[in-house]
Formats: sequence, structure tokens, C-alpha cells
Amino acid sequence: MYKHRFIALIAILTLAFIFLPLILIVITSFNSANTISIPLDGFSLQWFAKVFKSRSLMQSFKNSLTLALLASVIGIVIGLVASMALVKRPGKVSNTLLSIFLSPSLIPGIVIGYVLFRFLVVVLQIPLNLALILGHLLIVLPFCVRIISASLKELDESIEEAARTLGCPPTRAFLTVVLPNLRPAILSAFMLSFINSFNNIPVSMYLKGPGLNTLPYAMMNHIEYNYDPTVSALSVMLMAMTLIFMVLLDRSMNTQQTRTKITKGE
Amino acid sequence: MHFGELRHIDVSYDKKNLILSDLNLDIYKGELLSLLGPSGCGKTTTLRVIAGLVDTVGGTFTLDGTDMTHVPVHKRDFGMVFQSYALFPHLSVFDNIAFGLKLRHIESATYASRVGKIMEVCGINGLEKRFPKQLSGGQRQRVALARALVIEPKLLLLDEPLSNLDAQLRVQMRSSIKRIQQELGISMVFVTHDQEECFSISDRVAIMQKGKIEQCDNPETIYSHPACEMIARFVGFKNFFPVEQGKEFGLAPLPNVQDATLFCVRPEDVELSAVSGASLTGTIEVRTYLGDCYQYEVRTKLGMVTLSSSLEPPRSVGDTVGLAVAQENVVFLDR
Repeated sequence: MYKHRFIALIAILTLAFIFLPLILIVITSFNSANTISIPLDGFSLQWFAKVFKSRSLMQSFKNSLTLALLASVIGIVIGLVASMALVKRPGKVSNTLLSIFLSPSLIPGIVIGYVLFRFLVVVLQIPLNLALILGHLLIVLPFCVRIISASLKELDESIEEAARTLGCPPTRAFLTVVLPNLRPAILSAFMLSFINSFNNIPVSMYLKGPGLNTLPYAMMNHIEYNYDPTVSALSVMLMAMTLIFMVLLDRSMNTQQTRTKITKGE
Repeated sequence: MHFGELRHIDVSYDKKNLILSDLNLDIYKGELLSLLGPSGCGKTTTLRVIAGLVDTVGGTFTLDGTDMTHVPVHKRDFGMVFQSYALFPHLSVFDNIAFGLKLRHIESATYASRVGKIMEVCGINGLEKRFPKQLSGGQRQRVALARALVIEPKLLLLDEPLSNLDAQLRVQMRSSIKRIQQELGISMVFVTHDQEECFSISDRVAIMQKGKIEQCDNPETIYSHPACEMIARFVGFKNFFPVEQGKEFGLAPLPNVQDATLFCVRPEDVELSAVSGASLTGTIEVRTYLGDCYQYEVRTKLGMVTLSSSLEPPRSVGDTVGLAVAQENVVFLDR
């Protein structure tokens, strides 16, 4: 009995550790005082309004959104093509290639950012926005390759051949039979890529420039010079956005299971 | 000319070792032809050559007088049933079966009735809305069969379709396949490593070894006249002896079989006889009960002889017995 209580206590403490900071941020974002403090002076939505009024925050939000979308989509296309090659020809070469694809996740972001800055920006003089996309592509690629190749490995490769024997040309067989079965993997790769790109600071730090900022970095700047709860309000909106995003993805991932449940009459 | 002809087919995956070398095979119209052999003998590769899923290094494949060697898979109009069934997991049973018809731009009313008809033939009506995950092994097998049959293929190819089913279902499915084949009069090529399965349903059997066809004939002929030692072992011959030792068995001086080096005999064709007067005697070393008979392993001066006998009362281990073989039950082999 004591053992169970002990486990329950640990569980509660762990959950508190995870959620308390988030709850505190949500509470402080509604404070009418212009410092992050508890207890609240009064209820106000002014900080939310301030987020929308702040040009630097809104612009960097748009930048981060575009960046995360582009990097994730390109990452998924490359990840898909790479996975097909890696899974169809297993062996030493493809194992080495897989390690190379996964290596950016093992190298500190600060190193990747620095190297890209020295190489792409200083030596090759590539425009910053392009360099930023390439940098974020490196961040998301390991997720895309790992998740998609794992799912492709699980998929019975003869379904593609079956489609071809039934009269489907190769490209169409891939699109109508293989791709739909990779949808859950592609969606989760997209989710992880998007979040990791959107959150990234180390790589963006080196590749941002005048007029080109990302949201996490803009938030850091804001905190450095202001102590008001604007960032709290922004954080609450980001949390809400992430939550909605995850629920939507979860829904669309489960559509097939739901469909099966409906036919079962559940 | 035959319906389907494979001529001098060579296949190599690495440009060095031939998986199939100079393979020749005829397919007759409306027959069930089996490719039988141990794993790695090239039977699945042969089937995949016919399907167009494997490129050949040399040779030709013609069907109904048309050269199919370089026709891509999706233009061949062959149905194929895969070992893993390869049903599309994201589609319902109905959509799985209708897949090939939709590609042929057939009106939805027509294909719905064709799907319904074939599902009835395969005994899976009522499962239209299920997904492959929700089906049993036998049902998946039937859906795979229906999906391949509904396009009315010129040729139906089956790659070890029964190997993932349990023993009882396998027997049931193989007679279903035979019945459907006869009902639709379709030509089938069936790959298997199970000799009993193969002999029970095939019109002809091609036995393969190391990328070559060793013998291709009807099951009865193969059973009574195996062409080589490998096939003889496959169809149940257990006793092999050099031709010179024939007289020890009391066999008449060799008949006019040229080049024969071996003779063989089935366990059930070796008879136990009295020791006195027997041309060959030996001591029983192992006795196994097989239900309807006993199998004895007898040590003779020629080596071990395996025989089965329902003689009552059974002989015991250690008994000395005489052995006799009738001339007509002996098969001579040249290799």
C-alpha cells in the first residue's frame, strides 16, 4: 500500500514539474500589471493585444511559420526519396548513408549553425533566407528519414508489385498504394519537423540577419529588454496553436482506424 | 505451338551468378501447372519472370503467339497472388478487388456486379466493407485470389499462396483453387515447395533444382518414373543402390536400361520374407509405428534399407529378416 502511495506521489510530482511552469505562464499572461508576477493585480487581455501590435513579433512569427513549413515539406520529400532508396537496397552502403542522414541530430545545433554560417554565408555568399532554410532542413531531415524509413520497412513491398500486376503503371502504383499507407508516418514526421524547426534557436542565431528574425529569437530579444508579460501571452497562444495542431494531426492519423470502427459498428 | 512458352531464359541478379540458366517451360491453355522445388531453386524467380517483375538477361517469353519478354508488368494482364497476399491495407475488401477494374475504366455499375460475382465464386460475399486487418488468413487469401481473378487475367500466377495457412485450411483452400480454376477454365502457374499440395491439384508439375527444370510432366508420371535421384527422393523413394548391387536383391540381370547408375525402391515396395531362401537378409535396427504400418530400418550387407510393412505380428528390433523386391517396383536412374 505504502509502495503504491509512493509511486503516486512521484507521479504527481513529475506531472507538477511538467505542467506547473505552463500553468504559471498562462496565469501571468492575464495579469493587468506590467511585470510577470503572482498574485495577479487584475484581469486583462492587454498583453495579448500587445503581441498583435508588436511588428517585430508578428513578422518573426510569420518568418518562423514559413521557415518551418518549407523546411518540413522539403525535408519530407527528401526523406521519402531517401527512405525508398535505403529500404529497397539494404546493406553496408545504405546503413552508412542512414547514419549520415541521421548525423545532424547528433551534432550540436550551435556547431551546425556556425559551420553553415562560415560556409554558406561567408564563403559562398548565399542569401540569408536561403541559408536559413538549408540550415533548418538539416535540423528536420533526421526526423523525416528515420520516421519514414521505419514505416516503409514495415510496409509489405509486394503491395506495389500487386498494384502493377493489376494494371497500374509504376509511378501511379506508388501514389495510389504506397503513399496512402505512409500517411501516418509522413504526418508525424511533419509534426516533429515543424515543431523542431519552429523552436530552433542555435542554428537560426547564426543565420538570421537584419530584417530576418525567427520567433524564438525575437522572444529572447524581447525578454532581454522588457519584463512585461507580452511573452507570456505569446507563449499561451503558441501552446494553444500546438495543441490544436496536434489534435488535428491525431484526428487525421486515426481516420482509418475510425473508418474501420464504423464498419464494425462500434 | 503452346499457349505460353519460356525459351532459353537466363536471369542473374548480380551479372555473375545465374539464378535461372537456359530455362525452357511450356504452359498449356487451361491447365494448372506447378513449379515445385526446394527453396532457392528459382521457382519464384521463374514466376516473377512470367509476371514481368524480374528482368531477364536472355531468352524469350511468348504468350498466345505474342512476344511478352519486354512488355511491362502493368500491360501484361496477368493476375498474381502473392505469398504475403499483398492486400492494400488502406482499402476495403471491395476496393481491393475493384482496384484492377477501376484502372480499366469500367463503369461503376459493371464493376460492382463483377466484383460481387467473383466474391461469390471465391466464397467471401458479405466481407465487402471489411479492411484487410480485420480478416482471417483464409479470408485474406480468398480476397487476394478474387482481386487477381476479377480482371479476367490471361494467366493467373500464384506464389506459394498456401504457405501461410494452417494445415486444415491449406487442404480446403487448395481444393477451392482447383475448383475455381476448373470453373473459370483459366491457365494457372502455381509455385510451391509442398509436394503433396502440388501433386494433388496440378495437371502438370515442373520440378526445379538449381535454376533448371529437372522434369516436367503429369504428377502420375513423375510419381512412377522420376527422372533423377533428387526427384525420386522428393516423391518418396528412400532406398538407393548402385546398379551392380541389383543381383543381391534377387533382381534379374539388368533390363535394357542404358546408362543407369542407380536403382531405387520405395519403403512400401520392399517386402519382408522368411530368412531361408531370401536373397538378402538383415537385422532390424529401428522400428517406428506409423499408424497403418510399421517402418523398419534394416541393416544389410549393402547398407541400411528402409521399408514399411503392415505385417502382423510386427517384427522386433534385433530380428533377422529376409528382404525381397519385385522387379516391376524398381526404378532405374541414370543420375
